[in-house]
Amino acid sequence: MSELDDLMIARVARELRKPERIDPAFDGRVMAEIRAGRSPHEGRSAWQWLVRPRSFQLSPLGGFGLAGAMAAAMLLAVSLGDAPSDAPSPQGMVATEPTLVTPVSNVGSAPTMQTVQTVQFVFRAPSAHSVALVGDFNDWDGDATPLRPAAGGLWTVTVPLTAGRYTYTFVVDGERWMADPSAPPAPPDDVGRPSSVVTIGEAAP
Amino acid sequence: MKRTMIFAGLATLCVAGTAAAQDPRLARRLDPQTLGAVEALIDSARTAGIPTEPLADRALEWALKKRTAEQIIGSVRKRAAQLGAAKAALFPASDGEILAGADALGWGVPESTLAELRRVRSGSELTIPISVLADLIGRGVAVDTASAVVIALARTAMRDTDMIKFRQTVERDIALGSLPAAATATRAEAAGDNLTNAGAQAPSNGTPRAPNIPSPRPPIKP
Repeated sequence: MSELDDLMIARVARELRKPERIDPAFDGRVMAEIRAGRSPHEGRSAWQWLVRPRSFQLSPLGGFGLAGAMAAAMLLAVSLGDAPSDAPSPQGMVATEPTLVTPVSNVGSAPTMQTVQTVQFVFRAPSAHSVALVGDFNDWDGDATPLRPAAGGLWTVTVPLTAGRYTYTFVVDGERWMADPSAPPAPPDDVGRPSSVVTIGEAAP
Repeated sequence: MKRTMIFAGLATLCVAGTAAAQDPRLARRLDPQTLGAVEALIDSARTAGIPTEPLADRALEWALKKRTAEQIIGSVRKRAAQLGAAKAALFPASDGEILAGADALGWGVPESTLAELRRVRSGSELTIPISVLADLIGRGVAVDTASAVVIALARTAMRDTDMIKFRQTVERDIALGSLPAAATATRAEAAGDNLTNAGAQAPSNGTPRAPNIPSPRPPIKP
């Protein structure tokens, strides 16, 4: 190290050792703030408490429970929507379950929102061996939508339907065509095999 | 030889193009003769701007019902005519409106009623009101009564959800023994009162208006 460097260091050290001159009233102001018990960041403390990152632990079971509660809340919120449908009375044979609104993207057009409703079809046939649902929504395919037996001679199935008007009927034991007694009938078809209609409305904007 | 190969290639392309244009659902369920006739009707409908899916549905329905080729073709032709008439009466109309209108026409609703509905609710979606009209007639309400009530309700600002509830209450009353016309008139009056009390406003001039409900007609004796 050269002598010039020694002189420079000594000059800097001398400057640093000089006492700091402080406003004579500074101590008084600090003590007054302390006695008043106020934090200088009092107005921001609540916000800081909210935004301060925290870590917490959650068991896998608790995680599933939380996810289930969130999903139930979302379904409840969506079900309070305003999509009209053929939701029948509790005694009805066609019941509508919570509405799900899903984005549907069509090729060549902007994505649109389309209402999808899960419609439960119920048919009472205590002595039937099989009941199938056929209609516009399953291309009138007798094997596509079988109903499952339930208590009391009821047969049920749920089908997701988008907005529209659908004609359908039940086929009992593969040969008997039965209209849904709880739904409006379709216009007569000239061949004596009755059908029913269900109308699903668009979601309210 | 070269010319023969060119013709063969063109014929192959034509057959492939025809096959590609065919609806596989129809091709699986209809015999070739019926398929050709139904495809021709669907092509004509597409050219006329009529929704074609209801025609395919009708063909599939009647095929499952084991109808003859003539019956299937005749039914699809009749359906196409109804869809075309509904489109003309409701113009401009969505596919849903046209389908509901075709059902209404199938129940005997005059085209003028559909046109009147479009006029009183121009610019609004009419699928639900027309469906309610068709469904009421299906439940036994006379065409004139159902038409007058639905048009009257359409003049108000009745929402689609309320329109469906109205139809359901009428159906319930009928199931409990009320005459269809009486149930329709009574429920329509109640719906009109509710709309007026709620300050519902007609879309045309913003004035609250109760529907002019026709008096129920006496039942026609068989």
